[in-house]
Amino acid sequence: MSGGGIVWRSVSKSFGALPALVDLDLSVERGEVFGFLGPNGAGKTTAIRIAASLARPDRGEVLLAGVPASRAESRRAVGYLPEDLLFPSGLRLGEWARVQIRLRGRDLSRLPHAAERAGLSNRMDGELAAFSKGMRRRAGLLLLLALEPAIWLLDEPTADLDIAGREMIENAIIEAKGKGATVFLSSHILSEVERVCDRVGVIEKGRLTRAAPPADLLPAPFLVDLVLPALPEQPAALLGGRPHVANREARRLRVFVSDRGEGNEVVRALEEGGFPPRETVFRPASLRDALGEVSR
Amino acid sequence: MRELAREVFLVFRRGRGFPLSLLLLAGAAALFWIALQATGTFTVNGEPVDLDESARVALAIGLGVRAVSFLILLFLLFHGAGLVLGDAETGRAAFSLSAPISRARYLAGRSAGVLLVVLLFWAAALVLFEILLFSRTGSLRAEIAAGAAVIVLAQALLLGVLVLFRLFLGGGWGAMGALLVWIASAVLSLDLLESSLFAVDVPENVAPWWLPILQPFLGGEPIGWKADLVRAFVRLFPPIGNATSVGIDLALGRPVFPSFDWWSLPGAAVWGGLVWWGSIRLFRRRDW
Repeated sequence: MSGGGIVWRSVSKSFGALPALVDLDLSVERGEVFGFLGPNGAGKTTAIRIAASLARPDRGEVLLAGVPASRAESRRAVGYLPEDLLFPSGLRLGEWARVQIRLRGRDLSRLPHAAERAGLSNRMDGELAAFSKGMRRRAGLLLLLALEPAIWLLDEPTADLDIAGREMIENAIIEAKGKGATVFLSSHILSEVERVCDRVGVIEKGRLTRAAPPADLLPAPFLVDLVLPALPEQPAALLGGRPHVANREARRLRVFVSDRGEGNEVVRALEEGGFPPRETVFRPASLRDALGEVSR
Repeated sequence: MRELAREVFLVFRRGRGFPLSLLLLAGAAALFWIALQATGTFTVNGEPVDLDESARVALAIGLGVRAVSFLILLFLLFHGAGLVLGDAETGRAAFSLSAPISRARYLAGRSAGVLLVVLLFWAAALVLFEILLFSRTGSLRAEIAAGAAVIVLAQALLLGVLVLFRLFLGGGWGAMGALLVWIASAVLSLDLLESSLFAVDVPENVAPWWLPILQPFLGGEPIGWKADLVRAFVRLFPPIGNATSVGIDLALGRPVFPSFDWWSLPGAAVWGGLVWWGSIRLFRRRDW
């Protein structure tokens, strides 16, 4: 398993009047695991589909290991797992996997081992039409494990999977990275992205707004999670400009702080301002705290 | 490409198309058998028609071959284009389309799978016909296979038309459009229509200067420049029906009539090339 990275070079794509991607410029280095975050309809799937050459950009291009994605040979290095994995009707898992491996000019030697790792070795003669969504996703993983591609394009790979399935995919991603593969994944599951990704990009309305290692996307390493009797009109004034997320309906305020001492200062400032917290929790901050609003 | 063709065959084999095809095949064989039996009992005004054995057999073969080609037309209209494009249209082919193969090879592989099904359908029909013929006459007719081979060319063209129309217009409208092309082509191939069109004769002395240059490419004897142009138009129209007629003439073991219908075959090949070229262009430009 060896190969290069992925480059989106000024890629734009619209569906009618609706812009799905606007001038996306992004490089994912070889051997890097990159997570793409954003709300539904933000353009994550479009970015992946253009890289997998299932959609054509209106402008710009995607390079896979230096080769334009529009050229068939660029896809030799690619393993793609779509968000909604469907199969040609009437096929059995073993037949489908063999066709796909041969289409890529690979031999079938890794197939039995891949089937075992995906937990599907006793389902190879099973009709794909009877597979549940989770099983279909495992079938997709089976193919990736059998192909060992240099570039993995994963569109919400763990959606609809049980805990064991999620762990299986996460382990496969970490193992692929260890072998030098480049992994690009989109997800709504922030904890998963935080665990496996070297870098995270945030996309909103087709535009990449941030791209950095997960820790750098956090305003501060810790958080004070507070439930108040009512939220102040201008929380920033009371919090001394500290970054925070306010949820008015739940009367909840999450304030990012650098340590416990700063957390205590925040609580005192709220008490002095007439908003004594009913509940206070001090904990490490996560991507969910920082990006929750964009990933919901 | 071979893998894609095999996949189509497996999908067909396990889908509803397979039992339906067996039923259609049984229907064609039954029709052939009935024709073989009935041609000996034809009467006109209560008087038996004097048909010799070879004429009876030819009549039955004609009916059988027409029945099979019509049934395959139905198969292609309702199932064939779907087998080529259905998986791509419904997102089931995402894995295949992300493989390092060109869109042209994808279409070629899938279409080859459908044509393989058509060939098997024909092969089964021919075997059945020959068995029935042998049981009735004690002899076999190699011409049926030659005729079927030519009709398969027409059916490859029809499949291309179907794929193109489906890509351009969508499922139902695409099938409707392709059916209209087939009907128009079949109507234009009718000998009677051609005869009435070509009866429009003009004295040679008013023919334009360029007619003698074109004449060798038009085929047949000169019958007047306007009629020659009509003949050229008939041949240039997607000649699905013309090529089928040539195939049926061959299957019957009779000279292809009118002789210029042979020109339908290169015409079918050229139209097939154009239609498939258009299909590949549309397929490549579309998002899947």
